[in-house]
Amino acid sequence: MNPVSIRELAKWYGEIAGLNKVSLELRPGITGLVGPNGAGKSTLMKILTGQLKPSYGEALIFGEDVWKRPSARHRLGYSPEGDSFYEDMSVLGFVRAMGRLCGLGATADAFAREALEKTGALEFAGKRLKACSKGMRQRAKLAQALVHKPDILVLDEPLNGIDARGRREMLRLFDDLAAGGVTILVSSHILEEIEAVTDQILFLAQGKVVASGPLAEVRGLLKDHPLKLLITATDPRKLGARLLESGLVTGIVFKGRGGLDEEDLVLSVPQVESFYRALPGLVSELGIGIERLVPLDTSAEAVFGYLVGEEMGGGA
Amino acid sequence: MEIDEVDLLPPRMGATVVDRWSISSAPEESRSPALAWWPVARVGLGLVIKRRIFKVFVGLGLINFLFFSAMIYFLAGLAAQLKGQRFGEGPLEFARNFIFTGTGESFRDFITSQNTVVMLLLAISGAVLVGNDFRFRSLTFYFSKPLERWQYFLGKLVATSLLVSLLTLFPCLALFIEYGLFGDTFDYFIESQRILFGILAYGLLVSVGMSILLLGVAALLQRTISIVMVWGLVFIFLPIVTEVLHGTVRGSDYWKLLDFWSLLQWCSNAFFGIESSLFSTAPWLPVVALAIWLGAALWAFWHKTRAVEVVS
Repeated sequence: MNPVSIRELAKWYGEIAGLNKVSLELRPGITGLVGPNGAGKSTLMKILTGQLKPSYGEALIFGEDVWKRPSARHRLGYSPEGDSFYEDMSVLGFVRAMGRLCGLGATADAFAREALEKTGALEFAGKRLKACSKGMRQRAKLAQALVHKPDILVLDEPLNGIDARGRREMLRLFDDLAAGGVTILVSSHILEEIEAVTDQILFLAQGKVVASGPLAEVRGLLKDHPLKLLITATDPRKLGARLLESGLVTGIVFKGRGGLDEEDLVLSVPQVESFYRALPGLVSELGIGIERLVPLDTSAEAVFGYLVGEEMGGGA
Repeated sequence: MEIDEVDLLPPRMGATVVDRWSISSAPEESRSPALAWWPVARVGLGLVIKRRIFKVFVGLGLINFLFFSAMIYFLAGLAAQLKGQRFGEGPLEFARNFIFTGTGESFRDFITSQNTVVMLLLAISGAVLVGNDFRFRSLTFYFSKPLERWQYFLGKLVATSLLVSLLTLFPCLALFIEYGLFGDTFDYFIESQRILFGILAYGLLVSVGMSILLLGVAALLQRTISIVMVWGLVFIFLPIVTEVLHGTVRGSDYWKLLDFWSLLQWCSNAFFGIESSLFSTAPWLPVVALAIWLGAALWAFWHKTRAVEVVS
């Protein structure tokens, strides 16, 4: 039995579909959940953690409906994106209180300390939450999700506000937990962050899972898709006209750069190798200088942009 | 390009399964699920009790209690000294009737006098106890745990009711016991079962009723200033308005049904068996009016906890 099974899950807010018949299975390990704002990530996570009632379908935790049977949430830990705590509580007091909510009794203190140690928060356990930095609060939030040692962790933007060293520690912790058989679902809008955690990715857009699997495989699906390149040239209009004439590009978009007559070119290139081979000759022939050549497609953000049919930016 | 309904998530390859927790194994659930509301109450109580303002209001409430308590002690002592003396009984009887008679009326009046402090305490504590959970979206921490919405409600209700009882029911019971103990015999306890019932019933009604009202108002308004304003409207402005309307439309008690204080007072009289001309309406009307007040507060609270579903 898979730890998480989601079957034809749909959530409607009036006439707006938050989720549209999403079905997926999660197995032990780390899975990244990515998508733009409004894609349905929060809705999916809230349904999965029993906070939202689905309009249709079901979310199962080890075969138990998480909405209908709250006891299923004993096996689940959730770290929300927001950090709205009881500010007057100490970090230890907060994690301990959350442990008690999970059913821990006299052992709540010991388990809270253990979770704080895991997340590197034990050193400031006595500090009041209102005096904690963003990074400290993230660790406290993670500790409360871990306090009852769940089999499934749902983490919403867990690395926000954590410094580079802290990130490394967190990533190591996620790896350790995953290696120990914990199923972890991590959401982020920064794909680099997700890529650092896992190569198993769920792409969510407009309430639907548009792709899932290893990032490399998803990229492989894009081989026939034109690559997008950004070029800053001394005479972009002249270069653009020549490129179109040569048939090396299938589309050109001129993007202003702020100043008058300052434009970048965003090119749709169907065959990258041919383009790179021909470009130096063309530039030399026209007497144009190239200041910048940036491929917009190498990041996972670009992959996502293709998948959802919209450009995600990537430095343009 | 779109890949729908896919399952491309193989288990992590090459992962070594190790003991994921180095200190101890995963915990057994050590509390009965039926008591899942208790940690909610505990958190709520902890949040309020630590505040300085709470200590101020408890102090205010204690002053009244200590005054009554000291008077019972003083009169008991005086009665013992004056026993058998010719001129002692007259003034003593006067003092007894004036200060504390040990009757249902005196206990009712004690709780009623404490209600003012309770009202102020709840107005100030509403945001801390309940409002902030909604305002800062802390509910997500509760509802992602093995906790049902009614358990969250019950936890908050118990926390608030305990705070109110601390100022009303418990000191009133203490006064009852003190009064009985200072008598010549323990007959007072046997003869005053109706009074004991009245104390328990009125104390519980004040504790639970005002708590339900607070949960509804605080869930709806969330900020302290808004809660204080509505609280003032319900407990100060509305009684004045209903009194004026009652005076204008002579003979009609229906306006008084809007006054929460009058409804509590009517119930207290019924509990203690005190005759009252507070309402000339059918006796079920104040009960229905009180039920509507509390029902509306319950609905507001329930509606707001359901509204957690709205993703902004």
